[in-house]
Amino acid sequence: MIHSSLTEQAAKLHGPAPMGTQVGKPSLFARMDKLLLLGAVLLVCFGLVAILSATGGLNSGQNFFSRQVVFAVAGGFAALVVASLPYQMLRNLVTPIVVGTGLALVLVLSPLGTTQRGTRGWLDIGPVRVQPAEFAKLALVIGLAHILAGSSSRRIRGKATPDEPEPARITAALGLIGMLAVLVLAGRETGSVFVYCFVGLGVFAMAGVPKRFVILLIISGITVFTLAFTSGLLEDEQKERITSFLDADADPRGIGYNQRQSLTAIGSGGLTGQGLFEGPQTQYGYLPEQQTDFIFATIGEELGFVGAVGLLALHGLVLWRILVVAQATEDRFGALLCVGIFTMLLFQIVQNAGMTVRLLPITGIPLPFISYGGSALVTSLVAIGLVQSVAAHR
Amino acid sequence: MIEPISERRYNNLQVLAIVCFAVLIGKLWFLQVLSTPTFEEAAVGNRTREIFTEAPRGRILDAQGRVLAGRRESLTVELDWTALSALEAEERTDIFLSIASELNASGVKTRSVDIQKVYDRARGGSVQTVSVADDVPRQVWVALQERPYVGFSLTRQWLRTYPYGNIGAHILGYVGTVRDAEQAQTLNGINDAKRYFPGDELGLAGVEKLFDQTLRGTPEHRLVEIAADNRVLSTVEVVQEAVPGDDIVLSIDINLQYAAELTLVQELAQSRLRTACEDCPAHQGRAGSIVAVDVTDGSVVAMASFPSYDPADFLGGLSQSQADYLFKNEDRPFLNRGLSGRYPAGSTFKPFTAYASVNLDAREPDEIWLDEGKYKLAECEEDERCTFRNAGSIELGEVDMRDALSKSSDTYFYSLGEMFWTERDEFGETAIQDAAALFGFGQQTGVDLPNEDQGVLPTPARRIDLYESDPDKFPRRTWFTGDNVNLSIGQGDLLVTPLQLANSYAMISTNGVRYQPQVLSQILDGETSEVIRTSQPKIAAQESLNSQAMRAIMDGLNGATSLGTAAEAFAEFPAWVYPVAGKTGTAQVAGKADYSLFAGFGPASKPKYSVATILEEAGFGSDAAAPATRRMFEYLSGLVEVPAAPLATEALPLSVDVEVLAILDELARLAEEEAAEAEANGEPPPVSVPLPEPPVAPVPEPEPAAEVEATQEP
Repeated sequence: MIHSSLTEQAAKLHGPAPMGTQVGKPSLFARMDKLLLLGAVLLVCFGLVAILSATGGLNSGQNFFSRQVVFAVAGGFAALVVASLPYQMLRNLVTPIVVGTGLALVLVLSPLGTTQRGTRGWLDIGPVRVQPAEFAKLALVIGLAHILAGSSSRRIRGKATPDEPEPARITAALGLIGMLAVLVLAGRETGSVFVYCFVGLGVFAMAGVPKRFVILLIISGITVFTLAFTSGLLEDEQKERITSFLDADADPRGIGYNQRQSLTAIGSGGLTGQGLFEGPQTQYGYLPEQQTDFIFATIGEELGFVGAVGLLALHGLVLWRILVVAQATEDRFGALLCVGIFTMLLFQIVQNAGMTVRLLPITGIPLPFISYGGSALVTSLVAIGLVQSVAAHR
Repeated sequence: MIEPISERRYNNLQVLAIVCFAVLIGKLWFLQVLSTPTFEEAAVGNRTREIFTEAPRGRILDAQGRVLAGRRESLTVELDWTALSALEAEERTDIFLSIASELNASGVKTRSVDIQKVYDRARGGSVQTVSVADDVPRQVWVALQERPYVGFSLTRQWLRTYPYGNIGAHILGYVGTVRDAEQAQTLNGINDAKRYFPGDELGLAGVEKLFDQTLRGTPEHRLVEIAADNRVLSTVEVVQEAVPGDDIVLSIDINLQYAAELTLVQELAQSRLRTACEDCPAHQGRAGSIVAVDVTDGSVVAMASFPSYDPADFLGGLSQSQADYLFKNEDRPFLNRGLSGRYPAGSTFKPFTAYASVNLDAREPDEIWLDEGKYKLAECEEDERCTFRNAGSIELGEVDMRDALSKSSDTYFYSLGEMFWTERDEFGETAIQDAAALFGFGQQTGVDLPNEDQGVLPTPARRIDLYESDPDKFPRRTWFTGDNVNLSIGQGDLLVTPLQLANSYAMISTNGVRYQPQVLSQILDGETSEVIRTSQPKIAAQESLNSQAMRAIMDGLNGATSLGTAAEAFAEFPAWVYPVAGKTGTAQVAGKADYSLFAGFGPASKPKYSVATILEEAGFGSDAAAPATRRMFEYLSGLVEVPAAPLATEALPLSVDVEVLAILDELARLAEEEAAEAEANGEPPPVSVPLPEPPVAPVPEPEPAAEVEATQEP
């Protein structure tokens, strides 16, 4: 039985507390997934070191590292809070979360928003500059999980497709994805749209949405993107970033320059790398966006194949544990929450790393836990907090 | 109980993740393990660049070791084409604007469009930086250090200096910069070690041009490691150390050169004060040349050409007024009249006709000729057009060859000219020309300066050649008796350069040895100042001349300064200490005042220097060129102390030719007023100048337009 094997697994994972000996509720830490915690903490530390190296060390006069430390601490704290609360509470908060996110995305487009590198995606709140599109990824995951999990009282037994959501829910889910995608596209942030689509696909597939809807999602995603590409919504430079992928050597000093420099950095890293703080491509500034989008190239140059694969292994560990938590969860909402977070992280990791090794075109998608950027880091950490909450409160 | 999500779906998700990670790791393996060397190479090539830095240019020194062309360091703003070309056009424009405003704020006038031009010219894959502004103040240095702009840097650069301003400018020449990569490419055929890059100094005239490869240093060639923003991080390899260019020592003495230039200007000014004959063109006295050579080795000791220019004007780029002065001025300040000016020789040519006469036994030197002031050609006794007159129609009476030279009898030589042509079966068609060619006319002297003219030695054959090449331009095919008659006194189609003239008289003085004139004395190693090369006298021709003819010519030339045409000019000159032999010349140029000439050498007893002076539109040779040459011999003989050439930093009217000309015009106006005033008072004009009859037109038709043009605009 699937059920019993999962319980056994959960028992193994949840440490010493033996089944049946209920001596009060075990502590939050005891109920959390330790390997997931460990993986996340290691990734954040890895990222901090990489940012330090990519920005010239402690005495460079740049404050990326210290700011990222603050983000990590804040994110970690937020994650703990989230983990300590029962995730089921979210089902009552879905409406404010989705509406709030939508409003934030609208605000970005208002004069309150800020444009960086052709993308209108930032809101200045006091001293903090936030990127709502990052938080929107999580909001989407929560919203989709809520919609597609169905009502908690729902019982479906003995049917051929016991977990197929009702058409109204599928429509609502598509509407949610569409709304967020349109708002983000209006700010010309193509990268996040891909994430939303992929998260949508993942959650749809896992929630048992019929294939025709999944295909509909894929088609409409492609259509929206094609329209955006041809309608002049995207700046030429943004289009070039994508098309240049096809022929990076055509204009080595132009857009393709970034990817060529990234490849050069990774390639010259070799098996064991040039050494931390020693990569010439990174240290002499040849690598573009080296503390954000291209930080994987810095790692590849300075720590080599071993370092890059080590980093991917940590990411793999985190992804694996998320899936384990999801599988151990009987609650569909909790499971879909985990699945959404899993697909969100998986897509971003693959897309970001793939772009630096020229497997995929350039988009402004950060490498989770590693790239510099407060909104992205906090989002990733809160996402882990949510998974821990699922682990602790099922 | 909620239905759990089926494990099959989880498996799908796991498989997807594993496949994705496997592909990523596979690509990493390919990049980092299989193709590392390729990328390492790319990474190194990415951040190393070749940098060439111009080495200091060699100096030009005078015979006494004074620096005529030196060098100094300048703080220079440079742009880096490679770095800037990586930017978007708008970004570049923004940076150019910022740099221009930064420079303007500190007083260095720069327009961003000029920077754009410099950038455009540097195009062509050059790896060299190009200077945008020289001599920027320190504050710019500080400003750019605080706020660096992409593609711009500050360096120290060597720049040319000309301490004596325009003195000797025509000999020194000037430097400009290599325009663009294309020009550099062309130049680089010369010498690979001394590669040129856009913006490098390049000699464009005079010694700077001819000896550019000697003066040019070997640029430093470094391989450097650079950051993405083009900061130089470290030197990987010094491929070639900078080697300063070699120094050049000239035979010119700058003080003597100054004396020659001063004499030239002053005599030109003086000439304007003398009234020309009625209905004659007024003395303009706007241009001229004095050339002095050492007859014992051919070295040039002074070569003055007026008007002149300041070579320093070219260093920072010409201003509009400077460019107008240099390029639109009809007096052509660029022209080094000493070796590029083409002039009718006038009577200074007579010794060579005389040489032909004696050498071909046409007329004995002692034979007496009756000078009646005019001479009619035998073949057309009745035609007034066939009558040739002495200057001023003066009747000299009975003259032999010596007198004919010293008193400058035209009719004596007219008759020789006619005889040579009418009896050409005996003397050959080119009796006079052969003698002239013997003394170097019609050919380059071979002086080591660029743009030397070879003059014109007209012959019947040349006339036919010209006619056949372009009958419209050269309508005359036949050589007439009148042509020979004109040639006998240095008129007609004959054109000489002052240097040719000085060198031909030097050959008279040496009794047959003609040297190739040289301005180069020594080449010194740029680092050690050791002598690398000392130029040896180069004999261009060594002839055993007809001694009878030479004796007669020497007597005639000695007579000219003692009792002949130049006696007045040399009246005060101590001939017993330093005898000067020479010949005046008054050359006629259609539509202009006479050109004043003198050529001579001294001391006649043991010749050392030969001097030729030509003053355009300055009247009789005896009035202007003879006194000018006498002054030169005062300096050359040491009888009068040579003035010290002033440095350009001192106030010096000579340094600004425009001003000099203005002063001269003012002086002329004052003199005219004075004369008019005197006339009103019933007094005779103060300046008593013999009023010669206007010269009679020669028999042949007027000279072809091209030749006239050449005469007027040498």
